[in-house]
Amino acid sequence: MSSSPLAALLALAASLLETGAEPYRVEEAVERAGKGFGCGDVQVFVTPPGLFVGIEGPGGHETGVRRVRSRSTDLGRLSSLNSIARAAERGDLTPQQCLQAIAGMQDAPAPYGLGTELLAGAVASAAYAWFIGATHLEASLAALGGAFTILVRRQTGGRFAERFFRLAASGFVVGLLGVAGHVLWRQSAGNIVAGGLVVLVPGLALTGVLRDLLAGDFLSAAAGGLEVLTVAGALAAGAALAVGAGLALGWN
Amino acid sequence: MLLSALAGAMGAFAFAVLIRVPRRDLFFAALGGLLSGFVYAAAGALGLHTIAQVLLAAVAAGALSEVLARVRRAPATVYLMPGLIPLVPGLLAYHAMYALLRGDYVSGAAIAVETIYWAAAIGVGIALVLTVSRSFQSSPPSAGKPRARREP
Repeated sequence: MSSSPLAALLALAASLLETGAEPYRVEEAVERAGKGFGCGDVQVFVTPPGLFVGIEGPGGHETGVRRVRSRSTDLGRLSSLNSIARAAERGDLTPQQCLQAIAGMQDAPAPYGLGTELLAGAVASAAYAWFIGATHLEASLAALGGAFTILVRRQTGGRFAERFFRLAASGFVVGLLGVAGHVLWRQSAGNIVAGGLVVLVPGLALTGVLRDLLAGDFLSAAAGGLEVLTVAGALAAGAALAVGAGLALGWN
Repeated sequence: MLLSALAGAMGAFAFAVLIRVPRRDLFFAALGGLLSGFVYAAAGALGLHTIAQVLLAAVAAGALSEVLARVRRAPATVYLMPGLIPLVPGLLAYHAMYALLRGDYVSGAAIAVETIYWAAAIGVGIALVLTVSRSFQSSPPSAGKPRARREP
């Protein structure tokens, strides 16, 4: 065997975490896959920023650590990884094949192009705006904001501080659209801002936090909860800057 | 009510693209938004409290996602996340921020608490569904159970 079960389990766990799986789900999947590889005892400890896997493998006890620095939501990949994990659990994959499957999946191109994503951002924002009772003009401005936030969202990487300011910048631009809508056309800035920012709302992280809590994983829940608060704070800070400037310049 | 459901479906479909739900699941992801939008509006038409509207809609979206996950053999998240998009308390959060900006701290704090209630209602709804759904699972989750150590 050219690659150890530990390497495969670490790769599986890290990829699952990176594509948006909740930590407790990663733990379950990796424990089961480890049994499928024939490891005696599998200990998995997953937190949002990193994970540990320890196994009783062919060469005695082995432990590995993986740091996960960026997490994003990619449900297509998450689905594929789940299938890989299940195949490993059934014993259909050797560790080598498992590593190859994960690597092959990571080389696959993104399912949707830039144009599609921008359009989706615009449509999601407009639809949400209509849902909360916005006028067509408000929904159009929200759509503009939604497309812009997707452009900004595509810039990934960097430290968290950079992500924070990217989020705040999105909030600011959408806030400006809201102010413009209010000043120029007497529209509700709230509908425009809420619609424009809806795609950035940390909804997945929030439901993940709740699932972590239910699973009794308080460490991950606390980390995830802080992330939700920080992201929401960044969006609000950006929007508040724009709306506050509008107020200071005496809108109404 | 129908318009709400349609807007919900549209939003869910578009959001599903953004979180890279595979093409074959996009239509089913939109169903979640359709259902939650409809339930939210219908509960409102029945005169229920906003928080109850959100709770019921979240339960509906959660239940649908668990059913779809079993039928289509994909993680429930694929159908759950898009379905929750219409329920995001974005407008409330904006009003809270706006009140705080104007120096109206009392309203700001009150609306912020309402936003938290709202988010909690979504969470409780999903948690309810998740707990019920887990009790029907064929193999119990291995997490939390002490594992037997193999002696060397």
